[in-house]
Amino acid sequence: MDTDTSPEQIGKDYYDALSSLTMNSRPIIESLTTLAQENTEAASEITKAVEKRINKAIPTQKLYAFYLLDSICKNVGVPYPSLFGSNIFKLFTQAYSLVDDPTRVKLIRLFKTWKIPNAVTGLALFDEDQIELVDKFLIKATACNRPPEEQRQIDISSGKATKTSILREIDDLTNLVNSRLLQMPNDAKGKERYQLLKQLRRIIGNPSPIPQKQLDFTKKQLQSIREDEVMRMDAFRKKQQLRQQQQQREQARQQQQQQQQQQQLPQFSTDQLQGLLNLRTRPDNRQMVHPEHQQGMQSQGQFNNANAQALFSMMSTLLSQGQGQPVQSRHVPAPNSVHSGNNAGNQASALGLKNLEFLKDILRKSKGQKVEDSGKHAAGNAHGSNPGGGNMNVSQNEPKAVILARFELKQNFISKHKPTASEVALIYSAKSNQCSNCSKRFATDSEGAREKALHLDWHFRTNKKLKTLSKQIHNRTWFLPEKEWEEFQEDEIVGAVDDNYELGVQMNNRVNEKKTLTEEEMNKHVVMIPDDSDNEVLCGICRDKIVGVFDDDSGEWVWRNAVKQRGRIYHYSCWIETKGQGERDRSPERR
Amino acid sequence: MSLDTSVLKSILSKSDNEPHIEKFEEQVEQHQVEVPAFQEWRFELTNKDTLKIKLTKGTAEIFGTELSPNYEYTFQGSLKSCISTFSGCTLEYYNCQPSSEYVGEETCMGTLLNLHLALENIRAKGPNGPRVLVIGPKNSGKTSLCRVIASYAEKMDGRPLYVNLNPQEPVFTTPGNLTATAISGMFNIENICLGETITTGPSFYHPKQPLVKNFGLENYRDNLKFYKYLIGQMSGCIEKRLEKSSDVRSSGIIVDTPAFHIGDLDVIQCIIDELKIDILIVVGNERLLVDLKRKLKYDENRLTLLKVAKSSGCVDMDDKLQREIQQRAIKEYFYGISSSPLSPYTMVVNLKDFVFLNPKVLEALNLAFLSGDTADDDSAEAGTGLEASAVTTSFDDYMERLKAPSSSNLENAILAFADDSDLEMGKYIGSPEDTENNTILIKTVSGRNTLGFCYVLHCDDEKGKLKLLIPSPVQHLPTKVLVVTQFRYNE
Repeated sequence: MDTDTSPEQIGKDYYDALSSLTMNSRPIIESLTTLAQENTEAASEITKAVEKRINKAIPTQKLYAFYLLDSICKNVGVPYPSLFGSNIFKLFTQAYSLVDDPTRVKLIRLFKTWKIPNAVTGLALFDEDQIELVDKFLIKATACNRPPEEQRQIDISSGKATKTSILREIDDLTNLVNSRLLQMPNDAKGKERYQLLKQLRRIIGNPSPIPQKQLDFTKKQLQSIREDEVMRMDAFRKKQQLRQQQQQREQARQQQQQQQQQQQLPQFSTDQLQGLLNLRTRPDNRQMVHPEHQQGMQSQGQFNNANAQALFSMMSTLLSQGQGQPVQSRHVPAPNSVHSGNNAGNQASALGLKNLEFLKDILRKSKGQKVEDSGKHAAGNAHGSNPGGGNMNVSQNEPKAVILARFELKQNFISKHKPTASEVALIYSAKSNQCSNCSKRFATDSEGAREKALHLDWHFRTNKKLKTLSKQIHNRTWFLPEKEWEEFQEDEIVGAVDDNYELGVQMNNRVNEKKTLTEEEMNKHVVMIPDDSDNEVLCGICRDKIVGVFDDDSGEWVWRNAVKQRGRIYHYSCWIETKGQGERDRSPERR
Repeated sequence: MSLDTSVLKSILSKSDNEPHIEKFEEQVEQHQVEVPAFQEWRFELTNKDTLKIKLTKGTAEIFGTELSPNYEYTFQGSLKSCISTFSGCTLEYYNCQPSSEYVGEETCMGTLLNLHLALENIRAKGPNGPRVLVIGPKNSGKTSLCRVIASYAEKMDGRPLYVNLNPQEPVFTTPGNLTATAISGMFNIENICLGETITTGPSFYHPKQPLVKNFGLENYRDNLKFYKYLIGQMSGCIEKRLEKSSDVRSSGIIVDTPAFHIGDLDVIQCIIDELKIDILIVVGNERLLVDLKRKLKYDENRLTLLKVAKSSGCVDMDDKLQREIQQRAIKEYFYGISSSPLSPYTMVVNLKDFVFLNPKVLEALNLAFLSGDTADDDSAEAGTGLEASAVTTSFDDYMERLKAPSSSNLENAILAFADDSDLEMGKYIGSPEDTENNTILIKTVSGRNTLGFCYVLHCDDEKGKLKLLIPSPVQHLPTKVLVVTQFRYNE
């Protein structure tokens, strides 16, 4: 501990501690709250530190500092609310203007809790004037700047229909109907609905005021239209999926045949194209088709590239926005323009797409894939050659399942095969997101990121515990008996849920807690009275006297039911009683 | 006045600093090692060494456990180890000069990765992961292989069950035990017993939860019957555990063993049957593989036999090194590691309040062990001798009750806490001569899990008092049955 405990120093230390607030971690917030509670004499410095943190933190982390502010004000109370309260409007609005939309929603949610009056005092958390200012600010801000989906939900939940909200809803619905029409061009009712929506938009968009009642009614109507649309869409998609699966199976058969005559340029039917597009965009499915034929797989990959190109050229004419991307027709001539708009709609629908922009995206992706695929070829050819070679990055895209499939438990293979870069990558760069503390690796996808966040959180908690424990006495519990071990789940150690790790320790501790302390047991624990000490000593816990007695067994003067810890004497029974809480349970993470 | 103090200070700091500087320079002396891809840096440390290592470029691993580039690794005490790299790496080491260090070009990294990926292929296929048994002569790299494939499995999100059947090897606890541990987090490579267990509170790596069965003897051949009995007991626990933990089941089992040879055929057979092994890997001895193929009773469709060449990096683990490592493991059990020390407690108990059991050393088998210590020995005598005696299985062959516990047989011993729950101990404590009751006692506790260990600091024969070092500040020991292991410890 620092000897310098001036408020300034505390404030400084506190600000340093705040730098750990880089994620939404309850333990961190709780411990920082406790710190604020323990140092109320430096309250204004701590307030300044938190405010500084909110202002200085990068936008994504501002929210957590607000959570801390909230926690301090609600849990510690006086003097923090009044200290923060004087500045809360400025603090809140500045942060609000810098963060992204989801964070704004969270900030608003947080702010709403501030408006709820305290059950005892009947007062709001902060100064009323400031709160009102923030409230006004938020009303203005949210009206003009909210993501449509968010807005829609807020509209629905608030129950109040406004012109703008209805306009947004209409636009959204129009899109929905439109995309469905592309898939079901024969749906007369859909066409009608599309026209109606357009009309409605014109009416509502008119600047003249419309009575609230009418607005509310329109809103309800729109809601029911939306439900209906969603239902129709779902039904349609299910049908489509069934059809696709059939097509894929057929496709797989046809492709096998075509492998032999690869020189011949294939003429694609719409169905084939569609099937292929699906195959391209869902590489997993594709692998399922022939997991066992590595060779087949690769040629199929090539084959699909050709298709992707063909599709691309076709689409770019269709989309009539086709600029920039040159049409590559090396392998396949641009298909007939007979596959027209109708077909494009079908493609889109098969993928569950709403608009053409997205479709273009997909096309771009399948083009990009081509590069990777040729990389895979290179890796395949380089089989057994220099594994540290340059195509490491490219060949990593070879999926795990494909690599594993060629590893057989055969003597020759195990002893002779030289691992390629992509195989080594499976235990290294396939998970390139590495923990900075230990070396544990995580995938780069969102699931990996989530796991890593949990993992880092775990590190943080453990490190803090290790730090506090370095000042405390620490000891070992027992191993588990059969039954408990058989029931044990590793998730209790590495699981994501709260602090399960404590559970495990408790379980191992349970063996200790069989019986209560008997008189006899207590007296077994004796401390020899040092020569230079008095016969009487005060227990460090209950402050009662412990009087020395002569122990016949050892022939020494001893204190019975006593234990010596770090130079102090305690009643053994007191020590045992407080030990449990003293060592593990006192850590702030626990509730 | 002010001048005086500054002069004084400068004088003080000069005389103070001089010896410091030398020391400082010695500490800072750094060495760099470049390890090319698919090679490894091998190093040996003696008892007094403390080596610090940092990975500065590339990726590297110690027996499958990846090194973090942000961490300074400290290796203390006798050790023979290696750092291998798939990508090529640069290492920095300092603080001491290893007694031996070189870059080894021939490694079996490729083979081990092939093996791992083949196992991973099996894991990907079904709900039941591969069950791998690794056998081989002394110093052939069995444990290293097990550690590597367990680490790789963990890296790919598996949670394999690491089973150690070598009582000389301390795995997650003191030596003298058979353990089974699901590996759901990284190994702690600085820790001599592979890592911390959940019994010690927070640790830098995720702790492990081992199943611990005390064998108490150093050599499995000292009491093969008891050894096999414990394997059977473990198998029961493992099956039940796997039934309940699909995560562990799908990752399979990895079994490390002592140096079996063909004379141990029936033990190997016992392990294969009890643990339902489906892959048997023989390390570093082709003849053993051939012999096993000929003599083992197995279904070829169920059991795959493979051989893995001995790594050129394998070094002889002499008895001295083995002892030092065992002593260190015991010390770690009571006192923890330097980064998270533990505080053991002393406790004085009456000898007469406890039952002391001794794992039996069966004489006949002991002789077989003496004659058959060389790795390639094909002594059929040991095998036949076993089969004959196996017929008369009796729990009295496993352990015996210590009739007169005293300083001569307890001093400095490591005692294991046997689980005596559901036993009315009052019935047994007072009557050491009641053979019938003793048999019941041994039958009940010998196969059960061990709860922990204590160490006899002092035994006062006159007063009948025993001063113990116990790991936890309990009011009373968790058991009345103490198993006197063959292991001794000197502080």
